Amino acid sequence: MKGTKRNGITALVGALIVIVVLLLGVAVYAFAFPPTSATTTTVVSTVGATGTQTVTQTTTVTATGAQASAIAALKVGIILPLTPADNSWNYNAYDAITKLQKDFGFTLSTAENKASGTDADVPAKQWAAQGYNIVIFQGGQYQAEANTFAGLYPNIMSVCVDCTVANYSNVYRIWLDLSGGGFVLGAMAGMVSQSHKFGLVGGGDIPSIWEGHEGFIAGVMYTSPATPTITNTFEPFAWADIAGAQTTATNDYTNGADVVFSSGDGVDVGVLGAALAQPSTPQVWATNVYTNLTAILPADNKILLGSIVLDYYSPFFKAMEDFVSNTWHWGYTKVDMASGLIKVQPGPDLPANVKAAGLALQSDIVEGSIIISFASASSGAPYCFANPSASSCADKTLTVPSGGGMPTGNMAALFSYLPQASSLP
Amino acid sequence: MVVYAGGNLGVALSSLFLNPIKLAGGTQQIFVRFVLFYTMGIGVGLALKAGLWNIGAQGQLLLGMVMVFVVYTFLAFLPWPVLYVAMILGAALGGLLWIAVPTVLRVKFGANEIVVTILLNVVAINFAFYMLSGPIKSAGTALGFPHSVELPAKFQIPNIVGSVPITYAVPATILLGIILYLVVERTPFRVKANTVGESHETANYAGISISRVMAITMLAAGALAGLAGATYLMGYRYELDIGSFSTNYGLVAIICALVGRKHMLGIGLASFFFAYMTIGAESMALSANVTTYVVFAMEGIMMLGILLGNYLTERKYAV
Amino acid sequence: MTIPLSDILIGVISTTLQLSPFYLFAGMGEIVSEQSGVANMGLEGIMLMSLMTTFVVDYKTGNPWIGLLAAIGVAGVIGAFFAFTAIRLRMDQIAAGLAIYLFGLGLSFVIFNTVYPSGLAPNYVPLPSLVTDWNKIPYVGAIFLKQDVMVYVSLILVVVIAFFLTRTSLGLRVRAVGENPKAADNMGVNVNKVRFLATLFGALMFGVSGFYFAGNFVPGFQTDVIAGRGFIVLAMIYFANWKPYRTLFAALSFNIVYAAQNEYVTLSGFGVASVSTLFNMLPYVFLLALIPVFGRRARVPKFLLKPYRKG
Repeated sequence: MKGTKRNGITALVGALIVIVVLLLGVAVYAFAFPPTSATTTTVVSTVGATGTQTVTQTTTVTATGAQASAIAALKVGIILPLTPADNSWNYNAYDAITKLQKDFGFTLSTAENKASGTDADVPAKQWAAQGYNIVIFQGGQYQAEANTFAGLYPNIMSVCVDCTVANYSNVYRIWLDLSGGGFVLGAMAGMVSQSHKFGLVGGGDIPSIWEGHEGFIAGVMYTSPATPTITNTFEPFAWADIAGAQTTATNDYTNGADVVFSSGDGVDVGVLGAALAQPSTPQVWATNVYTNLTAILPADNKILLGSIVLDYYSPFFKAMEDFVSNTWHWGYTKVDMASGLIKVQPGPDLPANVKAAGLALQSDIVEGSIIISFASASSGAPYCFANPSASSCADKTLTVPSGGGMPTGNMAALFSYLPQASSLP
Repeated sequence: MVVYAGGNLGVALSSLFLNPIKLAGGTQQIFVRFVLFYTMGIGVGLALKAGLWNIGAQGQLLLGMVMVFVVYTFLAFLPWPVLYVAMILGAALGGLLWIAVPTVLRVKFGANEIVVTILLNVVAINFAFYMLSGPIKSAGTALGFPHSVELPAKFQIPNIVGSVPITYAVPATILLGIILYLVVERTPFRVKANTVGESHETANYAGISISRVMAITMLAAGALAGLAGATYLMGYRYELDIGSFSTNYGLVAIICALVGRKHMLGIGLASFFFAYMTIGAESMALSANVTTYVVFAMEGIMMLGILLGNYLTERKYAV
Repeated sequence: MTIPLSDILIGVISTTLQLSPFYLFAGMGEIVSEQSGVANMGLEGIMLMSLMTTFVVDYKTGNPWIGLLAAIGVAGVIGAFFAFTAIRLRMDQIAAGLAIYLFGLGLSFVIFNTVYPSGLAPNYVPLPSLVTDWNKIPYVGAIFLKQDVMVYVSLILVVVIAFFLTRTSLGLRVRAVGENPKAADNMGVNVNKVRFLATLFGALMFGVSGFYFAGNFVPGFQTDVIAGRGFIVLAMIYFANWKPYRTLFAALSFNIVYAAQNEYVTLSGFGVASVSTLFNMLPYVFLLALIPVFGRRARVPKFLLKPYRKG
């Protein structure tokens, strides 16, 4: 029927056409949409004997002249599970690293949409072949890969965000502890809620996320005048399922919840969408994590209870600083409220007394008069991280008697509250 | 501005065409993808000959991958060589079982297989996620990011030459393609399949059992897609995690089958071409700092280009 | 402590009504297209491009209606191209459709990423609800008045298309072209022109679907955000035997099952993601179960997928 000669000509012509179309397509693309993030090195001008950079999180980083030029010579790659369009987890990290890049001028490359460790392996190895110094794995799902990669390339710093395990000295961990932020948001939520019903939508059942959830629940318990009804959902496919999160949050609102807490990535996007779609009365609230949404949402938005904002600028900077000073082995940074790297930004429409109370709690946590930790009272070590299969960690219930007071239940042993903070309304 | 864009264009093009060979692991990935696309592609092509569209290749692939670990976990008592073979066969079985429902629905009820396989693709993702979070989950898994255990060395497909990362899966697949070609093209089956594909009435008249032909081709297609899962897991990835769920390998395989015009050799060329180009495109996305999604757009362009090319040449020879 | 049953029911019905129009717009479009003999498997690609256009235009202008127009425009252009390749060039429809899907999948995000590279996009301004204070009215409010006007447009569209396909001469011509193009040709119908129009109409409806997805499903654009829902439409109209009212039933019941299992999973607080995936499968399995319900042999338009050569 179809002779081989014809197949050959077909293939040839087809291939030629393909190549031409391809080249045209790439040409059009490259000319019309030049890449917007800079990959060439520029020299930072502000550095003298001591250069000071003030950043938006009101944490100052200081770099000596020698350090700054050493950092400028670095090649850094960052691997993101999604894209910065989530205004959340990915955006936060991307924003911080690009700001750092503008300030210090190192070479930066970004790999997006890497769903798992094996996907991350491809760009990581490509960067290794191109002589990169630091690879940032932005997510706990990369923990195994970050370690494997570190083993293969001992001279490359393998920064692993939200990871707890380091098998090699060149794995640099950035630990996250959202419980403080969750607690402050929960406290404000408990004060401001009219229906005393709360929904939580989570992106994945991993320690940093359920810490945030447990913190929120603890905060609600702390301030809610009536016994709250709480629904706690973890979405499958977690971070990526915006539509599912939006539907779940809409359900929560229809079921009477007037505050929904969300913990990251696409889940945040979906929950915000659900909140924005609700009518203006009764007032509903949503939260988000990782990004200062008050900078993004219109100033007159009414639904934002608050954002938990992470400062990645300082931890990333510290990693680079440690790298160039050669003090980076077995290095880590803990990002939590007590260290000042996590802050809660209350929403613009919250009543002033609620805002004040929340911020007061926040400073209590920073000062240390309130400690929230998943720790056994005696040892103080992160118990459940080290012993995830321990019976007390498997059942994550927390019961707080109505009207406040010491919590009971399996998780209760893992929360420790010191004497009450200053006055609450 | 022009120089700036032009410079980047150079980077983009060179990464696209050269990086796959230049970079470490590039060659390995080309062959891994080639095996993947080709194994699934010949299955799709086979079904296409009988006029059946196996859009469910992605779902069958996932089921095959899941079955590898199901066998590994639950039949662990078998001695090593038997278990090894069982894993591969299990994968094929997984794909076959997953296409069994559309096959039955098509043969017995006349339900269009395109539609059923599409639905089952979605169900497959959910099912695979469930299995990965439960029965085949690795004990030390970070919750929320489930993945399976990693296959130890003796369960991996070995390389042909120790240091060169091309596994036995490559010649095995090519051999499979050749065998399939011989079976399909040089036996009476070819006529049967083609007839069924062209016209059921003619087939009936000729006394060909339509249901049998349809069933055989569909089940074979499913088994091949499942088998592809085994080659991918045991020859490259060694563990199953959710990164495998969000791929579009099934779709590309269908494209390869179409572009290769259902001919085993053509599909082979198409598979290699797409394997090379997708790796190159991803690398280009990285180097030129554009998003990886440009890969999809390019795949679409490629496909249209090739189809257009096919069409134009066909017009020359139009009867 | 518990949530009243009425709240739960209201939530489920409200969500069903909110989600169904996406499938209805696309369903009606694809029914018309397939009745004329052309199956457009690129529908999700067109939807993604329309969705992206909706967001970008809405962000820039703050007006969702302009977004709708832009979405329909984009869909029309791509649809016309598809119709040209499938009808005039007589390329394999499924192949061309899949290519369009890939193209739309990639290009939509590439363009969005270029316009908003760092992800900082302003708020999407959605279509307003029918009644702004809908929650003042119990029951009826949350179910019917919360929806935006497009929900009711989609329901009217179902009626219109049903009428169109069975009672109008153009509609009958569309069906004739799909059933027996030779006979239609002999009677003076320009087969390819009717097919082209039908396919174009389908594409325009996909544009509306893409527009509807914005705001009702997601508040912002992400990679592959439609995640296969477009392809489900193909299944729906198939199981509904290309009948508009049955498609309405299929869409509503699919979404009721989805909303119900979503609500159930939320309330039971499984906490663990894995079990909820089993529930996620329910809507799809349900569609498959429709086969025995709606009869065994589907009446496929005879010349679906077959190009027509004149003479």
